[in-house]
Amino acid sequence: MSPKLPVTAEKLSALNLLLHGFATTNAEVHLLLLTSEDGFEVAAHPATDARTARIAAMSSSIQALSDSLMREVGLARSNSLIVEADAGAIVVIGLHVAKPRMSLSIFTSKQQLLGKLLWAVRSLAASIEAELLR
Amino acid sequence: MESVSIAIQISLHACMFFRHAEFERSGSWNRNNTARILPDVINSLHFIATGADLATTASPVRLPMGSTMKLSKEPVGKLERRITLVKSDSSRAAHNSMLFFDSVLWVFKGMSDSEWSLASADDADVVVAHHETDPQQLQQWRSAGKFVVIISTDPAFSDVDAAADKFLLQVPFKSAEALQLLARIDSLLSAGKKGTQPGESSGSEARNSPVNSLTVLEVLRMLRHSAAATHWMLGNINEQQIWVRGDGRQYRCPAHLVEAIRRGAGCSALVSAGLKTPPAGLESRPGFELVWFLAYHTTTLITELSPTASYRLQRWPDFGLVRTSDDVSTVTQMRIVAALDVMPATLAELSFRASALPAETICTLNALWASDCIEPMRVVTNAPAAKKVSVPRSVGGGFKDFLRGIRKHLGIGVTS
Amino acid sequence: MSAGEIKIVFAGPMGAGKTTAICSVSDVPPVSTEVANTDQAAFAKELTTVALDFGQLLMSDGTVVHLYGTPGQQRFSFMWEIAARGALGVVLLLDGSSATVEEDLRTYLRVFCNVAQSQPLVIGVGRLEPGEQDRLIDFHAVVRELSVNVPIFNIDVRHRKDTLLLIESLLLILEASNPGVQHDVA
Repeated sequence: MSPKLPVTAEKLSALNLLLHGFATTNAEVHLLLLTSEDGFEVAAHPATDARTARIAAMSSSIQALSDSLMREVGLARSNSLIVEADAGAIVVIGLHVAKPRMSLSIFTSKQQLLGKLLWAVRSLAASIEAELLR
Repeated sequence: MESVSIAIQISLHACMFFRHAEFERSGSWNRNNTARILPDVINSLHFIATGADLATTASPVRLPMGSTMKLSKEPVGKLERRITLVKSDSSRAAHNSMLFFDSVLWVFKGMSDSEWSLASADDADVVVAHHETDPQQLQQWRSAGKFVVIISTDPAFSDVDAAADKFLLQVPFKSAEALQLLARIDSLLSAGKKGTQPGESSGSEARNSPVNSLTVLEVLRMLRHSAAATHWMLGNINEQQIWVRGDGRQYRCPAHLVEAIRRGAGCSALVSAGLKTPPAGLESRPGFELVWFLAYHTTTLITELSPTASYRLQRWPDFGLVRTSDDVSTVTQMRIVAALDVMPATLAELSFRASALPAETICTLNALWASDCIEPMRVVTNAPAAKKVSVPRSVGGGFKDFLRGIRKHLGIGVTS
Repeated sequence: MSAGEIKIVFAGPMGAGKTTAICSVSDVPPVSTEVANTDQAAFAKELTTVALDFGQLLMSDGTVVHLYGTPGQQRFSFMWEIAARGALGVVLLLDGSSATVEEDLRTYLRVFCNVAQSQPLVIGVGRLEPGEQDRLIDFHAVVRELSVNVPIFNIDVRHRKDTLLLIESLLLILEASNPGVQHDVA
């Protein structure tokens, strides 16, 4: 995690709780990652995944490219990015309200219904932003 | 009588060669093995004799085993070089190595371009010492302008002042290696006019004369291999002093002189500044720049370079530093270097491959040589190979057009 | 000219001047993916590139050359390979004032000599103090450790001509390596 990230231990604990709660109610989700804008992992579930540092960097890259693309075509801000794969999907949502800016990445299996996931993820994102603003 | 005299000479030479051959094999004297090595010795005699620069009166002599040998009379008109061999009793190997070097001088007397004679250390041009000699003493000799040859009996020995092989003989070494080294030093000494020692003032001569520039260049090359960063040398450009650091990596001069140097102002011989240091207020510049431009503006091929030898690139020069406002000239130099990077080449081959005029190639080759960016192909070295590159498929068959287009678009290079 | 992307990659550690170099030659305002740098302790820069900088050279015959600047920080190293794949050449920029410049050189050289094996690579070292230009000798020693021979130039990417010098050297290496191409001379 970035040493300079202004997230207190208490907030971090609350964020992890939110991620854990989401994973519990959405069994097809196998990784949730909250990353700083510049690619550091803030919180993750499960916390012990060895790949999270690298995935955090990749998520921020893809988020940044997505933002650039939206600016280039004049579609204002990127809200979410969905990558569908043979074995599942990734949803990356930018969290723009709180500072510092972050993004939330969710990795799910193929069985998860995308529409339902998007609704749930947006709800989670709102909860996370509320927690960050608190 | 002549045949007897010749026979005696042959015998004496043969005795020395027995010892040479044995030393070259094992690093030690062992007379018991001389019979075994006799054919090699005779062949060595033949090789050396037929390769020597012989005077016109020579007598072919038929030796046992069908070998032939020519002996020459003492040649006349040679330059005298003074050499001292510093005795070393630190080990039997050190002692023997000095004896061997001594015998090389003796045996090949008269067969080199100059005449080498033993002298005291104070008077000598060249000092030959064992690697265990006091480093301060070695440095004193170097600072006095003497060439110091180190003979090492330790494979792990590394002397930065010996300049990555420049004047280092690793035991066991062949007599040919010692002779090549002496020949190299001889040519460096010869680069001075009328036997002038490097560093002596020659103010009566034209400052921009090729000989002066060459002398200065040789000194600058030597400095690059010394570690005397606390000492300074003094030179003169356009009536003004320049200071060159003892390791050759920096020079200092008035700011306006830098452009003069880059445009081709020559430098008179460098002399030691003794204990003096540069005054404040001078521009501090990298030594590479001085060497590059002094050599580049030497329009004839430097004596150490040969028009028929192949050279390979050791490293690219810093074009960020030596690029001039004349883009054409810079690009030509870069083109020459790029061509050399791909494959070693002779002067003519390089000129052709780089589409450069011979004059441009000569100047660039001079600069590359002086700044240690190239080496002759015959030298065994660890110079890394150039990266093999290919044109990406996306550029395809229109590569030449693409190059022209991008250069034109960016306003770089030379476009038709 | 056949289809396919033509690109030149600018790589190097954070703060070496990749974005500046691209800006100095690009015909269009470069697309940037710079975001706030949260690790000020490690890198005293406000912003950091997290994906790619992207510029273009728009040539009169319609050929477009893409200029990519890779993120400098190690955690984005996956982007280096993606960007370098099939590139015309790689320009490696280094910050000569950095305490880790020699280590950076080793790191980047190892990676790019591996991912861009057959593409020319040139190195530009910026931010050397006056009088420090001879440090290039030390950098050449590092390069030799890795058994390669690449150009290393003292440059300042704030000056367009310095970036052009690096690009020109890439082109000259390509040209020299392709004997079928005759040089254009005045």
